[in-house]
Amino acid sequence: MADLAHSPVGAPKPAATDEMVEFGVAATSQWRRVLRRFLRHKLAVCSLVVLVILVLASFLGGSLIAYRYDELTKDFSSAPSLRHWFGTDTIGHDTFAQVLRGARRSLIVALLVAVLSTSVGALIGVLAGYYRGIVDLALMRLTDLFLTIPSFVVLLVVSARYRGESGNWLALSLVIAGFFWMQLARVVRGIFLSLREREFVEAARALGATDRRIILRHLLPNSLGPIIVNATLLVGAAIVTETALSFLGFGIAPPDTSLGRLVAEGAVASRTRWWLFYMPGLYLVLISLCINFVGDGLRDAIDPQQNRVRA
Amino acid sequence: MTTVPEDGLAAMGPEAAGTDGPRPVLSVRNLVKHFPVHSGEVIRRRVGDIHAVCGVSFDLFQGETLGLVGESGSGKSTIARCVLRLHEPTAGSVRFGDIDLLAQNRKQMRRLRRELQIVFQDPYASLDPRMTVDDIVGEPFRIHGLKDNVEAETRELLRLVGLNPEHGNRYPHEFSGGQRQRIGIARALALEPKVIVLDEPVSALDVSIQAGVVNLLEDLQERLGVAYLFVAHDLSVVRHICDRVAVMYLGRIMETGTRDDIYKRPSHPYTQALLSAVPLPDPVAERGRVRIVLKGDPPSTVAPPSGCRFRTRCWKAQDICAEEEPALVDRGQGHPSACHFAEVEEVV
Amino acid sequence: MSRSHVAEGLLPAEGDVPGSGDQPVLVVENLSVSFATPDGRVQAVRDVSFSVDGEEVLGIVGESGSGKSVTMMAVMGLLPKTATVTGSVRFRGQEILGLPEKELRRHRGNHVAMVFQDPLTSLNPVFTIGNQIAEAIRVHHDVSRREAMAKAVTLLELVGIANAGQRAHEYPHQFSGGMRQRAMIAMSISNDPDLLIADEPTTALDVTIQAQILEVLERAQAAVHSAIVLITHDLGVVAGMADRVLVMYAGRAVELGAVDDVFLHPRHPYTLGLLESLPRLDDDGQERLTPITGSPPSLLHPPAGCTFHPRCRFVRPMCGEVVPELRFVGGLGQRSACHYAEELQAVDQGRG
Repeated sequence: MADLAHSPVGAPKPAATDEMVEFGVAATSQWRRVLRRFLRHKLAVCSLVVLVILVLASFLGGSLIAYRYDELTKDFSSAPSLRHWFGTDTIGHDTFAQVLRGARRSLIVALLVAVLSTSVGALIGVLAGYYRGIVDLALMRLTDLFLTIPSFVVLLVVSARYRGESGNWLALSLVIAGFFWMQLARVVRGIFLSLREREFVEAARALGATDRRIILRHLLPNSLGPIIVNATLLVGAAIVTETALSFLGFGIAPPDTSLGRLVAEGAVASRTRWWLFYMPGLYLVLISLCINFVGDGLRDAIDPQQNRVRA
Repeated sequence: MTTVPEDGLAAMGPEAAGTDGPRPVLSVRNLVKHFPVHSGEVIRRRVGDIHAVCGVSFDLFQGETLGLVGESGSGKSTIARCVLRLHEPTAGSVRFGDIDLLAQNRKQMRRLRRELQIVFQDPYASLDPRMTVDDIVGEPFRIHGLKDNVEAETRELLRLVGLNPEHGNRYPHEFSGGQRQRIGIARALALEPKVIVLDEPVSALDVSIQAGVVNLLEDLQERLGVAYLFVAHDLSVVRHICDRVAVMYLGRIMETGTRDDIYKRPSHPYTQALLSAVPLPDPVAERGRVRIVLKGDPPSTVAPPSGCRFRTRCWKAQDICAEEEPALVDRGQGHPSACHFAEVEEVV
Repeated sequence: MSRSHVAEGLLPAEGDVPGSGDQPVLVVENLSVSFATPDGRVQAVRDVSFSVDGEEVLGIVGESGSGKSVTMMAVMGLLPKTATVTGSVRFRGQEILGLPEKELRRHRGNHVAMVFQDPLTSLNPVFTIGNQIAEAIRVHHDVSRREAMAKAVTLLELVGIANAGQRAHEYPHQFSGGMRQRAMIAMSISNDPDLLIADEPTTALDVTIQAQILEVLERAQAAVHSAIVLITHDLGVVAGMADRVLVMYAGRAVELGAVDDVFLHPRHPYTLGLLESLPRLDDDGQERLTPITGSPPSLLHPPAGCTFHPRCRFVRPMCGEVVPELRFVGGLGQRSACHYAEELQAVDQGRG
């Protein structure tokens, strides 16, 4: 919490920690206020707790439960029970183990997509918004171009090339990220365009600050809020996209699995062995709901306009 | 391009024309700044120019305060930014001592920024909300590679502007408007500049806070000998703090002179109207005043009127005012005034 | 403090203002407004009482956070639902607080009108100026569209818009700031209100335009015989326009009286401090200004006793303990919320 409180982009910590105590001065930064406002957002906090549990379960759960995801147990097509929480499939895979494994893969893909597309989007937005003119024009036309391409069709075509190859999750992430950066680029560009006219940026320029310094020390820290919110929501969207691709058979290749694959396989048997479809489905819905609620909560907490009371 | 006759220029300094008086620390000649006006969203066409500043000349001497007063659209803030090259002037020259500022490349200019600083109007917008006060005031040192002793220097600066140095680890939003403006002043002072441009430094502050900041600025000038270019619309504050004043209207200087010239012996109709429009916080005096209320609004800066720019609202306007732009010269009133019919009349 | 007690205190004040024998238009008694915020309760207005007579101009002066705007929002019935309001606001004898929204709307259109600082936000950008004024008329009067438009043009002429007949068909963005404010004033008097509330009407305008608008405001008042409450931070505007002035500080009324009394013989240290800290256009002296030390208090945790005591140069122990009442000082209806108001007489001499 204390780390979060101080500006995340390398602002040095206040040296006078002792003095703070002595003079009763509490340096409440904007981030601490964001945290406080976020904590008041009940739904978002609950979602965050659930999300953390789900994520931890996905990454650590595999080693804690009795069955491995690729282990063939002696129970075939058994309904959920104490032994197999989510039941088993026709050849005896424990569905819970598979869901955990699948969720882990889906989350890794989604996080990778979020990191990649946020970096690309932010970079393009920063360049366009800061340098304006011809740079802006070129980058924004490029962004528009990507937005007009029917991305899902391209995703299908490109991922078909990697279909069935093991370890294709990396390629899949890259391809999805390639179509996920545009919105953030526009958001960051917009923020930069308005921030660069602000007086504190003009003040830095008047002091002789270089472009690099203005971007890194002044503009980026001040656009971090929307970037974080956007990245969070991207994780949710990426999970859903990965699922959709896998569902259509273009995603993660077996023996590896993902939530999308599990849902796809379970869908065939959704009438007779409902748990094969609904258990991974539920897990998926829960994860993406939680991510979206957390994103909403962050957005509300970061939006500075709502904490002004006119008096 | 419009020009200002040399005799008008010379009269702007405190010394008589042509003699070897003190040399100005900042000298601006025939400064012009146009902003293009575009139309359309996709295909942008340049449809005209905003004539923000049109041939303005003045000198600023060490240790003095020159006030640039005018209403919105007068170009005073644009001048402030052109002087610092935050805007690139369209034409004209800006000299700092012997150095032609407009001839400097980006790197040279960055070094020169130590000598010229600015304090902005809005103390809420001019401080980076994500930085602590220590970081804000220490930034000038870090930018110019003066890394030793930043902490001690910062503390000293905060003390100088009347803030508790122990509060340096706080963020701007924890301070009141007046305190924030002091932080902005501390930052401007950090590199010991010779000139500080004050762009409406007190107009965003509450009345009870203003006085403290005005006093601080006066004290600092006395101690540090810095020259102020004081840009403001508040004529009362300008009278209090400035040694000399230039009254601006639509990008031109209408009248200039010492404080007493402008306030006691205004000769330009616009100056007179401006002064008479300011309400006095004294009901008895207010009742006894004759107020000159101008007709209409200031004309567009995209297409300023021919001849004298003020003629469209002036009660003295004659045919000549539309035909011939009045030079900024002394017509017997003791200081330069850009009016064909300049005549001293006391209005305050 | 009981209500009857306050009423006793209030009524003589009305008698003291010359030429206002009739019933006051507006009576505000013990008005308190607070807002619940995440950080706690903001006490925006505390225990404010005053009244406005027939055709007088009451200036309300205060800095940001003084509660002057919130007070008038309460009078208009425009406070958000999150506000907790206590006390009483009576308009021509009718209680406003707690009225249902429908009746508040009638109250706003018919009896009270408001002129805001920024007319752009209160004019609808997609309708012509004339249309908007005509609509405002038709809401409260049963007249034809044509008649309403004709009256709108007359009103625009009254507020000094040249070619009113033509300009009535233009949109707000085609008007300059000063012209928009004129249009706003025209609209505000379109239903002959008894009370016109002008909230910083000239703050966003240049000084030469301000002079025009103040003139228009006076002309508008003369045309409809309304009272005006002029909210501003500009002491000069109040000195020129107002008959009486109410000085507010940190949510409380600290001084109330005729402008001449308050400006020439202030009886509250805050008023005195404001007047002394102001550089004056007609003051040649290079004397230092006398700032009020410190900053306005937080409305979340206002100081005990007199809200001004932490910044007051005359402060004494009692000031931090007992809240001073807005009581009569001197014989002319001037009232001050300072325990030691009488001692400021000595300062009068000093100020010459």
